[in-house]
Amino acid sequence: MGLLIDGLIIVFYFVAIVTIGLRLGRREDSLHDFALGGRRVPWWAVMASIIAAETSAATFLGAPGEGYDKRSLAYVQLVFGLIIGRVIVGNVFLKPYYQYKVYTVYDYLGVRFGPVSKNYVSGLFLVMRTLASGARLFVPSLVMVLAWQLFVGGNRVQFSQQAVTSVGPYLIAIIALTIVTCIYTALGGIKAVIWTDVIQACLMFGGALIAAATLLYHVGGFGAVAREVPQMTQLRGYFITGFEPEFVTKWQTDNNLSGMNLWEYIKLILASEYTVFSALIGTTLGNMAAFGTDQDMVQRMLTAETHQKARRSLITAAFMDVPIAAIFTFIGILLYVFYQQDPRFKPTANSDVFGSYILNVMPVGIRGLVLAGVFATAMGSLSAALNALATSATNDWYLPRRPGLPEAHYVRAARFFTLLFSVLMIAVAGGFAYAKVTHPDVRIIPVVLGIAGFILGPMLGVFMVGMFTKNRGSDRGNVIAVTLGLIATVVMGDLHTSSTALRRFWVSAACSSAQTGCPKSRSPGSP
Amino acid sequence: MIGSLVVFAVAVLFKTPPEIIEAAGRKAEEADRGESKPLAMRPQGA
Repeated sequence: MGLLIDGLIIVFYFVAIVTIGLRLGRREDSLHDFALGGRRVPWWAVMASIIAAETSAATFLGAPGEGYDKRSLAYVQLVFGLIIGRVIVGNVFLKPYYQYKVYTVYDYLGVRFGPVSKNYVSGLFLVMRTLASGARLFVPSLVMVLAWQLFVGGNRVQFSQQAVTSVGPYLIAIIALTIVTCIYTALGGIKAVIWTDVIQACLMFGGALIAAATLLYHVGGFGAVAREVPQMTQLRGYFITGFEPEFVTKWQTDNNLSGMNLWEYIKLILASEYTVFSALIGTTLGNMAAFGTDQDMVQRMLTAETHQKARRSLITAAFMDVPIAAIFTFIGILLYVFYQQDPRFKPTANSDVFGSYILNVMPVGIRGLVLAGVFATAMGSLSAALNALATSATNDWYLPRRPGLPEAHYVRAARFFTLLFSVLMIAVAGGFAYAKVTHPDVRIIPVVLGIAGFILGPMLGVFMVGMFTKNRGSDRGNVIAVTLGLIATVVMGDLHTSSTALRRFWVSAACSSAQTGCPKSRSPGSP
Repeated sequence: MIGSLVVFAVAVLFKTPPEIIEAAGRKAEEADRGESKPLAMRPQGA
């Protein structure tokens, strides 16, 4: 009976989200409506949509794993860089986008440099976003398969990336999630995406709060947390500079050093995870790239009436990320305490701790709600990607080659592209699931997960030339520069190694959503 | 994010052709005056 209630909650969520998406996204007569919502979307809805889009299912399940692993809220300090990056984007990047009334950010490159720059970068975006968002579907499909096994079998399930050993169930889950999302995205356009994002953001944050409250109840309150994780009563439970004695000692030991000089301190900063320096350098640049140059994120900002309102949405969303990152990381700390007390369902991998708790421990009803929250985060990210891809394909590629047709024709084209990219994402996600099941160490896995980080960096470079100079940069120069930038990223990144594939899976996937940035040492996978 | 720095360092060496800068100015004025249509559907296109 309990499992039936959870199942019904999830089914109700799916039906409700499609219905609401379709109703709110009616009357899309032009590309202006389909892609920009007529530029009449309230700033707070845009803000909620940014939060929903930047938080993937991998963040929902992976960020608690980080809190569990580090038993510290230091992960949250990455948000400092996130705020700085978005303040720069809000004050420098958004105004030109509104000045030229662009439909995609790549329109700006066309105006500023010429059509070659626009097409090159837009093409990179289409490839990058299809691969990155397709690969991201793996996590919610895993949750869906395991939830199905739980509901049908009625037994406890082992939550791990290796729990499902055949591709078939993954494919069914991937297709189901993508079809539902495609329906309301294709028919409702950006308005449907944004308004369902508002609901999904509430469900995601509400689900996290409920999970934290349930965990606090299970472990016996804050007193138990302070006893099991004493550093939560000290500063270092919240803030890490990277120069703490144990980090310096470990660095010296790992590198066979007898002492530290300036250069070694610089290398230590560059290699440190979750320090204030990671926040200031890595997440600042990462967020500038994600929120200034990735149509997936920028598109919703272009639906606000003015660039000032778009800026308000962006920066407010950044500040909202502080409690969001804190709650997800704190859930990880609570899970550590919980599994100390009751290790029955403790999974092997730290990254699986939240998923195992949701499926095996959460009370009936609440489990259904939190699972709906997982699917909500996945669909919020997916719908954003589909809409951005369809808009870019229509505006940047189709329209310039078929000009002069009625507005309704371009809306139909955008709907066709939404469907096309849905099919492509199913193919990418299916291929990714196949690789995970049959060859979990295969080299392509970290490459696909990190593709956004590899391509967004060079893309950011072009936009920086346009935004920070008045008469520098040209079509020819940009093609040379971006090609060199891609080569440099590949050579200096982790593409030539495969040994870290599994270790990096969850964090890279979580960071690919750009929500709380990524440590520099993993920057090829960020954002 | 090394890619962004490499691209910036290389791309900044090239000068934007003056006609592109002039056209960008015109497009900003047109966008300010006209309704919001895709750039490729505006009188001078992108």
